[in-house]
Amino acid sequence: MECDERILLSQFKSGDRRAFDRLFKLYAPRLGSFCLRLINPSDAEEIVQYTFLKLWENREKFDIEQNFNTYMVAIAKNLIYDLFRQQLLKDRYCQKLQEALREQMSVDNKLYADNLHEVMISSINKLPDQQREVMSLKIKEFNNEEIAELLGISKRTVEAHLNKAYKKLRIDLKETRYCLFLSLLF
Amino acid sequence: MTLKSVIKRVLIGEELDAEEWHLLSSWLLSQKGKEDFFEALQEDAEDLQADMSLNYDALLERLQKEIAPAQIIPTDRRIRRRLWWAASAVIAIGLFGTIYLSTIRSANEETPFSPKAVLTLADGSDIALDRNQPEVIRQEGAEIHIRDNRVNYRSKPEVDSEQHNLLSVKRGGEYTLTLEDGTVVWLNSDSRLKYPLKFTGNERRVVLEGEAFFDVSSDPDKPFIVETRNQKIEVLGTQFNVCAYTDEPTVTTLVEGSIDLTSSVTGKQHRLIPGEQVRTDPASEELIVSRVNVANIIAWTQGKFVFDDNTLEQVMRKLERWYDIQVDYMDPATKEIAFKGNLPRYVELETLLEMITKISSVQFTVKDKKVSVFFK
Repeated sequence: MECDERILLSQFKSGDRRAFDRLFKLYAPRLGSFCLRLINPSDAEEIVQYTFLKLWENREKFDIEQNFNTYMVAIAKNLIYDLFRQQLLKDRYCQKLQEALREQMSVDNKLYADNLHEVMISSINKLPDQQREVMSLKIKEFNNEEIAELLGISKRTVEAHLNKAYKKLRIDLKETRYCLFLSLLF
Repeated sequence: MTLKSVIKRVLIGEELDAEEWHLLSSWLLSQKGKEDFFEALQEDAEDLQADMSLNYDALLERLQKEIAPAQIIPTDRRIRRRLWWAASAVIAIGLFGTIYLSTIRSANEETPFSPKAVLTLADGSDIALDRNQPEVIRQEGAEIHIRDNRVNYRSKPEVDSEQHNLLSVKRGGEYTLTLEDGTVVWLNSDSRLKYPLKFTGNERRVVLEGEAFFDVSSDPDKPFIVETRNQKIEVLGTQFNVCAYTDEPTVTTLVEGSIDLTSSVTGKQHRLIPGEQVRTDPASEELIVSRVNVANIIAWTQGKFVFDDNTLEQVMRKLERWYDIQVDYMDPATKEIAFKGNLPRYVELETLLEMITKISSVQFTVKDKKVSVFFK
């Protein structure tokens, strides 16, 4: 069994798509149950799919001595962390997060927290058209599929726009000295 | 209620109550970040049974389309191009790696404040940074650029272990150092900073004796730690001044951001807010917190001495380091005279002493490197 798996992993590493299919059938249901312990089913599907896409894209870097399951879960954890940060940026949370942070911070830093939401909105407004459209829908709690449908673009394009937008927001907010606590959110 | 349960509620988009918001925001402000998050999820990653509820066949089908052969060709080409870039980068570093020898501009050669410092490399060799020093030193894949009174660590070294360098600034000197992570350190006279060529591991640790102003580049995953004789200062990205001479109480002043300061002796901790200063009481080792005008504290990085209700003894101690002189008090009472004012840093000692004479009740005599203080 163990020997089989090594062969399977080295086939996967060398770019064999059938090995990839077998790995998916073997491990995806386990990853699914991990995700379902934390997030709702539609997000879980998204994370499973994206984790395997990343596994495929980085297959050459995979070390076959490593435990595949651990590696896969580590990628998923990072994606869930991203999801968590995205959640906190949504309208519903952002306002309250700002209040909570303000309550906990000392006087000087309060000034920074006071207009967290405003600064974020104005940063979003500065993004290029498509990134802004995608991002404004995202913080209104549309998921990637819905955004793709609304704007008539593919889901991959939505993800690409979001990634670029997050990167820019991160830089933008850092410049306005929000780095203190926002570095955690981005 | 735990951080884990709060994280889960956010992930599935549920509302939080006041207590949960409190827990979440204090975690965010604690700047512990990802590790805490991952730790909270750890339990859920164990004993995974196969789930049957999601539609895995549909997921696989979509994935197969994503990675279909039609798209494999561009992917491979992209990878190959990246390899080509990597190869050319290696060549460039190789060419640049030769040691360039050249003299530096020595503008202030004759003045008492020309740069004076020694750089001790990991192999123990000393490089005097006075003049005629190499402009680029290559060490373990790191490039050290030296120009005027600045030392910059450029390309990321490929070293695994932490090899340390030591920059010692002598009396009468000052140096600016840019570390491998982009953090800038202004090192004052008679001060030493020990730092690694590359910050490996999960923290960035340096050791300071003397005075330095730090502008730490932000990296939430790698706290920056300054160790002094009796204070440990932990930051993520911020600006602060540390004055830790062996003959004075250690004083840390925060300009921007937030830092956690721990007494190395009592273990007591204080989180500073901008404008706050923490002084370690030399007798009791207690941390004494006060609010100060930060502009005065960091004036030395802008070529000024600013004193605000300092005693003459404190003033003269700064001058001793900067002009490399020795001060004698003919009447001990002169030590206690309170002193306020701005003094320029880049002038002759005599000019500066004259200025002090004008605004106070003391006068000086100077012989060689010895300065005597009298009442007028």
